[in-house]
Amino acid sequence: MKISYLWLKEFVDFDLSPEELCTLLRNLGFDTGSVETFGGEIKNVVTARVLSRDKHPNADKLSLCKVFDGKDHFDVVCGAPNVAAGQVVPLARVGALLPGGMKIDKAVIRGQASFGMLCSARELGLAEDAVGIMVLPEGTPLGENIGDTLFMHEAVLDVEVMPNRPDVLSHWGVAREIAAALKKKLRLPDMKIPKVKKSSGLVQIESPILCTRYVGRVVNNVQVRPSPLWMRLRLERCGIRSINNLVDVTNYVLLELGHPQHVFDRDLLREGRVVVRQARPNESLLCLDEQTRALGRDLLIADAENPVAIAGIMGGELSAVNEKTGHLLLESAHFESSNIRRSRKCLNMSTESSYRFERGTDWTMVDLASRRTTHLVLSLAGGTLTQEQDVYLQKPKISRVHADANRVNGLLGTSLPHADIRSCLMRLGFVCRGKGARLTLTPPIHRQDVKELADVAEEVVRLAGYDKVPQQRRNSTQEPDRTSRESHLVLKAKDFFVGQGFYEARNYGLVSRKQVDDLYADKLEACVALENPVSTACEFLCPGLLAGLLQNLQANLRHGTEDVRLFETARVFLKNKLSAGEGHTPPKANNDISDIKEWLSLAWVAAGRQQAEHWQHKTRLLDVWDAKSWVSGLLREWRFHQVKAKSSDLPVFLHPGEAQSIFVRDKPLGFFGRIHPRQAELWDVPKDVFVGEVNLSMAASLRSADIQFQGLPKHPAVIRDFSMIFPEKISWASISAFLMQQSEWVEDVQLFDLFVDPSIPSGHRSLSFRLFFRTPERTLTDAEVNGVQEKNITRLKNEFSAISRVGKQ
Amino acid sequence: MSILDDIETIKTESLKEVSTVDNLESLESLRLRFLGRKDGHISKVLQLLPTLNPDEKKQVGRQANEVKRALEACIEDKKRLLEDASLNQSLSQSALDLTLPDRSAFRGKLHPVTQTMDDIVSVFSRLGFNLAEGPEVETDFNNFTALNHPPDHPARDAHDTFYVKDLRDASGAPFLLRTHTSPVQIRYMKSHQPPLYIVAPGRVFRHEAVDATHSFVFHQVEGLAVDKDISMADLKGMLGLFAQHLFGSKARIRFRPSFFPFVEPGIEVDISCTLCDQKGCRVCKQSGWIEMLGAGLVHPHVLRGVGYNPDQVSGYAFGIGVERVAMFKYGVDDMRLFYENDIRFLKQF
Repeated sequence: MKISYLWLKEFVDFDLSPEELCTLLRNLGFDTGSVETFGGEIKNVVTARVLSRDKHPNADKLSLCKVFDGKDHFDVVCGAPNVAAGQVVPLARVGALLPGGMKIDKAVIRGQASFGMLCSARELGLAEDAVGIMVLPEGTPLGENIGDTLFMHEAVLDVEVMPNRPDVLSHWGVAREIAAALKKKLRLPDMKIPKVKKSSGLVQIESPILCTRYVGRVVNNVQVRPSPLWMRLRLERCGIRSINNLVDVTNYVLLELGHPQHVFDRDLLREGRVVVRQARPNESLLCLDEQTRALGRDLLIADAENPVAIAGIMGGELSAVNEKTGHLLLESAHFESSNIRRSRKCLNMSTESSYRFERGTDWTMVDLASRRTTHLVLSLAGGTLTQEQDVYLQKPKISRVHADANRVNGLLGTSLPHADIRSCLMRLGFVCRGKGARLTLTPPIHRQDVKELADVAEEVVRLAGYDKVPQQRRNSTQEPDRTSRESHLVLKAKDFFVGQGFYEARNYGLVSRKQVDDLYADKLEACVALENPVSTACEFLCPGLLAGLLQNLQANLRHGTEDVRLFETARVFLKNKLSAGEGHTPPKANNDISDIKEWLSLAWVAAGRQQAEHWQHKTRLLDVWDAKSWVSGLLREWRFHQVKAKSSDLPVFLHPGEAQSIFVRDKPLGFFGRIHPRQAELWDVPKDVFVGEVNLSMAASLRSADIQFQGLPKHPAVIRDFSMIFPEKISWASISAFLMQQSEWVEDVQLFDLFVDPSIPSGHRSLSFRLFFRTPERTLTDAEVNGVQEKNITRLKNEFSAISRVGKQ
Repeated sequence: MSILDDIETIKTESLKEVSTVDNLESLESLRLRFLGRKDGHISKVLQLLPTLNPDEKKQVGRQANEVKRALEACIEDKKRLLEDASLNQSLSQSALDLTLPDRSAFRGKLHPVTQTMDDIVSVFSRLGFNLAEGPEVETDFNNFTALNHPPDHPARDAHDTFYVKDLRDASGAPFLLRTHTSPVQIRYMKSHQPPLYIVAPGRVFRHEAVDATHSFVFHQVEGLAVDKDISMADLKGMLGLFAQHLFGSKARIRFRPSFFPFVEPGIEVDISCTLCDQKGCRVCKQSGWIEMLGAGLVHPHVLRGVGYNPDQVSGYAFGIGVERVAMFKYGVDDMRLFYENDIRFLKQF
């Protein structure tokens, strides 16, 4: 909210600079960002009248003017086309100083002497885009220092007012806070109006809950014209466009006292009266912004027949004041705040008026603001006040607040004397009763937000200052929790992936429809969509993390990073199956979110080389064995031993020949592998991209192996290497599992060579492996081991149709 | 001159010569000269023994053997010394150019938001706060109503909210993406009894246009303490400690009144600018202070709503914007960088 420094000074005296005022307001809870200054340093520029204008003899576009500043006459050459005899204008005399450091000297222009310059608003630093000489209102005294006439040296503060303090949404409100803080007196602006008889037929309220008070005043025979300069400047500096004297007055009072009002052309109201009621079916209104709005249950101001304004939000075009307006009906009312908010949200509009009404306005201000407006209308537009009516259906209820000074100190951790606490509250307009520590408080009418002890404590500390609150050391007295299993697994995973060269990524968690189609087409129905996405790139809550990571991968490669390894742990979402199908029961409790399944996922992508290039040896591109080692490494970190991998149940975006899904205790934990070549095309990435994703929440729900110490072997192992030729379709997993089962002495089986060449029958491959034999009690003899080994070979031949090669001992 | 004098001379001369010898060959010839079995000076002395009387024989023999042993030990020491020197010389002649690049393995980094969040959480963990978490999809009730944002209240305007399509909660309100980590307060208080001291880190969502200082996704660390007689001074003490842990022992804090519906009194907390020692710089906009977090005493409505009695317990709550802290700490000037996941950015932290 823009607040004029000079305007504040009309209500309260203070000696603070604009910057010091910012600090004061900030300490009171109103964050004040920027200070905008106007005018600046101006010297020797005065108001003067143009007595005559003649053509310059040597230039078509220049004119010779005689001007009079009330004391002396000056000849001035002027280039502005709008200059005319009779105008009052700003005259920069010889020696004058203008904003920006421009100095005015005597000059000879095309052979004619010029003793000064007539100024435009732009030259005075008042407006950026003004063209022509600034013409001051008729009646402006001559010879006046322009700095005083035009509010030079003005500063406009940008004050942020939180939604709980609608009482501060005006110059009056801000001045009230300043007065309380600085212990100063407040002055109300002039609101004198002539006395008239009370009318009864002017205003009728049919919705007493939604409108509790309505003051109408009628002013006849006004003259619509532009507002005087001072008012226009004030409005414009506070961000409101000047329209005409009548509209400007209501806006001026809005900024001044914070109470929104409306002015009707009474001749355009049927029967010249208003009714406050809710809209009837099929009613609509052509609003001041030239849009016709269909009305629902909105609160209206209507004339005898039709809507003329949406109460508290916007007036209608057809009853608005215009150049021909003669008679006015001035509206000042109190509307129920949440209804205004509902209405303006339904109508999808927000105005200065609705902004204040929805936050709550001051009941007593209804008539004061109307008086102030009437006063200004009478003085700026002439006319006569002829009627007034104040329909005051419901006096506001003011509840007392019981507080205790000791408890105020207790909440704040302060030891403020009781008298200081009372003083703070009284300066803010609270009536304080009660003895000693007991406080029985009646809040001022504009502070209905103060309802209990905590609110009172806030008011006290705002005025006393937060520097009175000491820093006190108080430790937790809660029993420490155990680290959750989920965060334990997250920690392990992060350590593991960072150690493997992965950078941690963080994405928005939202994906586009195209990304869902590309990766998760099979889950489209279960994906959770947003009602109001910021863009089509973020329409769905992500059902997995790979969309974000593949996008990151592509961007990194595009930026020239060759080796990209990224991982992410974040939540992913799907609709719960129940909610998708029939027989769905809606959630029972107001904190039940079971319709949406949310879990923590861990995913990774990698592309590039296995290792950085080194001058001693070449490196190679990543392959699926690297991808597999990350999964097995992760599962070892998590101490899952009973892991099953299958080449079935794979997501469609994986290469069907180079990917596996992972099961722990028969639960599908996730997958890893090379992306499908079609995906490489879709995401514009190379084919050698490897990905993986596991359900971390599920992993956390599964028990991992306990650590159980095994005694160190006392006897050496006996080692046997041998090679056999197997049909290709026999998997290594089945061979090694078979060998482990053949004898309790077999401790480990390691593959150390695999090859296919013409010496081997087609459809076969040669596997070389090393067996470790050991028993805890003694050293095994060669004969014992050879016995087992021979049996092994025979069994492999029988079981897998394996063929012997030369065995190595 | 007596034989004993000769022995003494041999001793002095030989030891002196050993100390000046500088290569193994000279040392060997020196050894032969003095200790040689036939022609060595000591051997020659010993060869004289049969010609001496028993007393002399005994004395000379003892003396000569003593000198012999001392010289042998001395030569052995010198030999090892010379051998080591020559080994070291040959080793250093074959030295590698160790300025050549190493065979460094790839190593990643945690995201700066994670690092900052972990730093913040660990400060409070050490002070005895427990970790709490909550879902990112929330109900309107937990995100707003229970936190004293009644329906149709303008305070809700501060939170531009993403709503979930088609799915609604028990009250008929659509599910939403939490706009702050504060709903975790509600969930935790409903399932626990005071005293409680928790921090809840997490991701939050606001329906806002993205620019250098705004993002529709960001992270917060929520803090909550509810106990007997908790006061503003306790909050100030805790946050003062937090500031010093995170920004150094010089860091100070300042409270300003502010408004968040779920706290009363509500405050904005500024931290003294440690970049310029409060002299004024670009980052603190010449003010010497950085706006860092929102906090306050838990609103009595919130306490009552979860079944606590505000006459018996009070509490404080705070919410720290993780990106804001990270931007200040690392001097990052554009929030969007946190979500682009450009490795050239990530590797700097």
